[in-house]
Amino acid sequence: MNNPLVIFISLFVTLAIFQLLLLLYLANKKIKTNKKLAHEQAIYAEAMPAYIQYLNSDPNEPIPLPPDEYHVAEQLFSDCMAIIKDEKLQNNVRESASSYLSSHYEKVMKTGDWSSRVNALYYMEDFRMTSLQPLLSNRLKEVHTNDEESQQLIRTLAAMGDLSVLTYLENEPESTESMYLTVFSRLPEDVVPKAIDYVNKDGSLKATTSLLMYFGLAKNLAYLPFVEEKLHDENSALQIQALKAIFRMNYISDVNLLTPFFKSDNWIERMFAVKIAGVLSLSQFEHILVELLGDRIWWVRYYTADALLVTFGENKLKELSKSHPDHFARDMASQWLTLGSQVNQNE
Amino acid sequence: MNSLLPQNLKKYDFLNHEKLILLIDQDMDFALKIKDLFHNFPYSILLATTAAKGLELFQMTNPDMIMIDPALPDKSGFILLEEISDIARTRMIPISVVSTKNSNDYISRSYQLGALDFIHKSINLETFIPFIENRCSIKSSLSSKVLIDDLTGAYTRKHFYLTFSTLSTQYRISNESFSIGLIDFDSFKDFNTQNGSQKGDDVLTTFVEISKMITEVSPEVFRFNSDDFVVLFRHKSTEETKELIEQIADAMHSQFSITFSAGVTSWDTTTDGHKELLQLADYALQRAKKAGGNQIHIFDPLSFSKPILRNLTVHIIDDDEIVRAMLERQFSTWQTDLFNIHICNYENGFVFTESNWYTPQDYHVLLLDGVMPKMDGLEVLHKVKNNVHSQRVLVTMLTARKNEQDILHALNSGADDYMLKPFHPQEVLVRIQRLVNRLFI
Amino acid sequence: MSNMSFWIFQFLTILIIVYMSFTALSYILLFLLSFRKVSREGKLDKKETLEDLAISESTIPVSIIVPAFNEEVGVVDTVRSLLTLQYPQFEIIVVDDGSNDQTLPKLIEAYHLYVVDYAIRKHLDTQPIHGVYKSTIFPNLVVISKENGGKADALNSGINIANYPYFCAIDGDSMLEQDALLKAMKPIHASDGHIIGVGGSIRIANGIKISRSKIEVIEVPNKPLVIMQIIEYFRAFLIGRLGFSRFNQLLIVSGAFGVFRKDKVIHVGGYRQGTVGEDMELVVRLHRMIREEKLNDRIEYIPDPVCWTEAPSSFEVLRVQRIRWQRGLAETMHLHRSMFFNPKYGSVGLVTMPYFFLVELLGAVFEFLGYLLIIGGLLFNFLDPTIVFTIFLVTVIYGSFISSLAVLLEEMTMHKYPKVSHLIKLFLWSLTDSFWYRPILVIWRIEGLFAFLTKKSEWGKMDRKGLSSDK
Repeated sequence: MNNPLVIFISLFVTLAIFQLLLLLYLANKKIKTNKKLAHEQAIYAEAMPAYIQYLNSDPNEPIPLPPDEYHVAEQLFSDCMAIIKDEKLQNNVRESASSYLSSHYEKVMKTGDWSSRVNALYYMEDFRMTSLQPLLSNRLKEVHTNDEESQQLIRTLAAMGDLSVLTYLENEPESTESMYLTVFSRLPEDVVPKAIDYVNKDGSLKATTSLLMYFGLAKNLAYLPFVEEKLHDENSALQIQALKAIFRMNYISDVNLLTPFFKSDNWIERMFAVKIAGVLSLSQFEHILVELLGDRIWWVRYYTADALLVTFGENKLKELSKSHPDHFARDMASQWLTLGSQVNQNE
Repeated sequence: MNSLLPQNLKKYDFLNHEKLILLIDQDMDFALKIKDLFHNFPYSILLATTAAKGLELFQMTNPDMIMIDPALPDKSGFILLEEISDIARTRMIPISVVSTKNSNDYISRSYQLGALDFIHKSINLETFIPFIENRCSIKSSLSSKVLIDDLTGAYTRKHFYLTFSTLSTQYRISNESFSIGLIDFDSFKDFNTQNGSQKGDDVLTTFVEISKMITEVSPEVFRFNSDDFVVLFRHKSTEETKELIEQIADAMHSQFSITFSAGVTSWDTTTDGHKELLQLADYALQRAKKAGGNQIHIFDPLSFSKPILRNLTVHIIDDDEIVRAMLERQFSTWQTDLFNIHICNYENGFVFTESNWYTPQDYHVLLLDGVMPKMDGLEVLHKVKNNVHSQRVLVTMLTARKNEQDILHALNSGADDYMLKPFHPQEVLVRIQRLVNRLFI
Repeated sequence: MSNMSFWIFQFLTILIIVYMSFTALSYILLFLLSFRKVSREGKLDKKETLEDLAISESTIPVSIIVPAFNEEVGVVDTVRSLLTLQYPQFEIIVVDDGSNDQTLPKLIEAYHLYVVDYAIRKHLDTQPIHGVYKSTIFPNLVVISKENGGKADALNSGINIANYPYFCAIDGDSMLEQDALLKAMKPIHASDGHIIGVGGSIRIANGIKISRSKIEVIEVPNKPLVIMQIIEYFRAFLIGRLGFSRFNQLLIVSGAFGVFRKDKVIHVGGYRQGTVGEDMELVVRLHRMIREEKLNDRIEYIPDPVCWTEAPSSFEVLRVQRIRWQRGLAETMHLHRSMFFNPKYGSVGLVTMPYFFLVELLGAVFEFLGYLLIIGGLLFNFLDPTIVFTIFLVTVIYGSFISSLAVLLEEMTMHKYPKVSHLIKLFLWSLTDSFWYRPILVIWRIEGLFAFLTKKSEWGKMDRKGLSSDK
């Protein structure tokens, strides 16, 4: 039994020494980080008011920051970017960032460890440091893992208007719709038409769906032609996405585009057509809506009742709750009459 | 006399510079679009999300145009429309109904109740700007032609300018003089809220009748703003004018509980123009107000060099120090001749409510962050609105919460305006200035 | 001493040494597997990585459900801390589970609640609802008052009324860090909805200074019993859960803070009523669903989002808590015993469930035997002193050394405690683990096992002091 005991004693002692050394190392590191943190806080507190003054004055003066305080600088600049919308001020901050930080970031991208690179990428996106774009797109070609770094590279490049990220996403089997969406929502407005061209030419289904989603969120009528064109797409998923976008955009150039969808075999298409008719108060579809109030799908009936209420008023619904030939339709109409008043009470 | 006239009394200068549109609507999506749309134009959009708030703002601010969406949470916008359309017509304020509905009976009802236009919300918003410009310019050209005030029978401001120019040319030659009294009712807005606007209108009408009848000299009475009047006495000294106005005050007092203050000054050949005359009278009026109201002060050149300014404190309540620093810098550039501006910073709502920030005699602007530790902006708003009933406190939310429901709730809880983060520092200042000009002056 | 009993002791000794070495090793392996990811992600700038989610309009809204039973001391503060969460759109649903103290009146007073008419969809069966309240101040605050039905029932009522696709369950005496919800929802967004459950870290709030629901200063408390629980939590969260999560084998998402996809939870029938470990039971059932329906869904533990909760500070209350936990664990294992070694459930059934059974449930029995052997060996001399010494060493390594390692690992990854003195204090206390804290826990855990076997129920009532240190 002596042998195992020796093994365990030596294991015990090794572990004890190892932990003790680790403790000393960590304690020492903590002292240093705490000092550094206090130092940076002090610098930040001092520099912040001066910098705000500087932002609003002559940009030819030197930035009121001690040299090589990269961490304080990126924090200060990004704090400013996070709260202001003023373009002139934003440009001033971007200029500060590119003069103070760009060579530092170049170094970080080349020699820094993973987390410093990712942090730098986030800041570069904030500051739109377009001068580093070639460096970043090369880096994107090198990374092969789908992790925070590659994702942030894509976002940063998208914010700089680099459309090669779309090609990258197309070749990446794991790319998700939300990834496309983050790209589209970051593209500068003048690049969006090019993105549309790209998607029209060789965009995958995922890319097209995401672009439609984005247009629905952006609610920018300039993109309406693309959306309406997709109403005619042979792929039903795209048609539905286009209907969704139109619903969100609250606008359609020609209401007749909707007509076929009321009769669609796909109930989701019928539902969105009805929702659009409701939100735009399209009174010309009265007959179709009255008919759809008796649809066999609950959701279609539900939104039809809503559309009828909004477009034609309570009386119309009251009348239908008595006179409609279909009893599901009558039920839905009367349910909406009570629901509607309840909604008002809760407001 | 010119040397005595500092830059600090410009009340009548900027009042009519920009147009005010009152939008009564709870549809935040639309409201945000409209606000965005007029971002670069000399229009301020005042938003009311309930009928009650809409009515209050209508009475307080005298807007240049009103837009109502009948779908309101507290009562139908049609009822509100009916309530205000008569007064609006007499003041020549155009009303448009905006809606997402467009059934025929909806439209015809809008017109019957006095709307000038019906606009469906899905219209292209770009066309909105020229439309609103048209409506507002019709209003101003109409009102400039009118010489007699519809409600009270007094002369209008326009008439005063005409009278002034005739008199001053004439008297300059004959070396005669006249005096004016600038009259402003004390807490007229509170009186209106307590007794109803009908009673308020009675006060104004009676005031004009009494002024015309009580004195044998039959002065000319001009209505400037809702409760601001100028009475003009030919060949009277300031002392005599003061006595005459006192008689009017006594007569008013026997009928109404409300009092007024007046500032008196006289014209002689050394006076420059109507602007200067009004400014001097206003200066005396402000002293009367400052001394507690219900008084008549004569303009005294000796005290003039020490202007009394009202205090206005901007309270910046935000947990983000850089937001506070940015706003403080921006507000420190506020140049105004009407207020002493003070700026106070608070790192959260709790620190603010625990401080003794409220001084009833002064004016307060609160810039409130929505989400803060310890006490949330909404809770501060709730406390302020419940504990401080004053027309001298203006609350603006400055928040990152873009959610329409949140914005709507803040406005319904009594916020006067809301702005989104990230913000445009210059614009925050300008919007606050506009609100201050509309609500505090 | 007979030959027979010698061999039995010999066998037991070896069994215990092997068991403890195996467990200790598995802990370390589990941690090493995810250490790289955690430590490098720990260095990322939190504000930057969350900024996008914090302001985006497409961020998924979340319903926060707070079951509260007799929480009059803490509930107002808990709600206030939730109201100031950094998240674009969320609602707070407090479920007053038939409290017989001032829980509801205190909420009504603090947040100006009024009664509303509310049509509730019954996805899940619950005890009857007495009333639904909303706040005049905060539009996103809802309070339900209902007939008492236990925590699972309260959570199910909350799910019924919740409006949003994900819900977050929080204990009524806990406090989330301001960015905790953002951090918890971040992987869910990135996964396009394939992550259906997320658990965060639980930390002990005793000793930290909180004023009006804001954490002012983080301190290590002075009570040894609380310090040991802090260390125990480090151990449980950093060492246990990380590794399991990596392979989608996470069986426990603590009831004090977990985020779930609502439709999936409704699909499996909500929280199970009548168990004491409803939080673990739900997660196991979700795993079952994932395997049975061959879904691509995941349940993850993320160390970053932190929820602070009040820990028992007296032996009596801690005892009751631990007996309950052990009972809950046993119940869940028992309920889902059909998953054991069932290839239909893949690695969850083949590896993780048995591992849990062996390490978490029966661990107490092995440790108990170990302590018995040490004491018995010393007192009655029936074992070779070198063997007693070996067991002693293994026990210390398994207890104290893993705990002290956990303290060091916390410092390497999360470093939530700001001062160097905190680190040293925690480290030194962790070394005492094997000598008093573990043995006590072991006894309670065995009590819990007995409670399960005899179905004796003993409901714990915690003596609440509230989180706020104001006044």
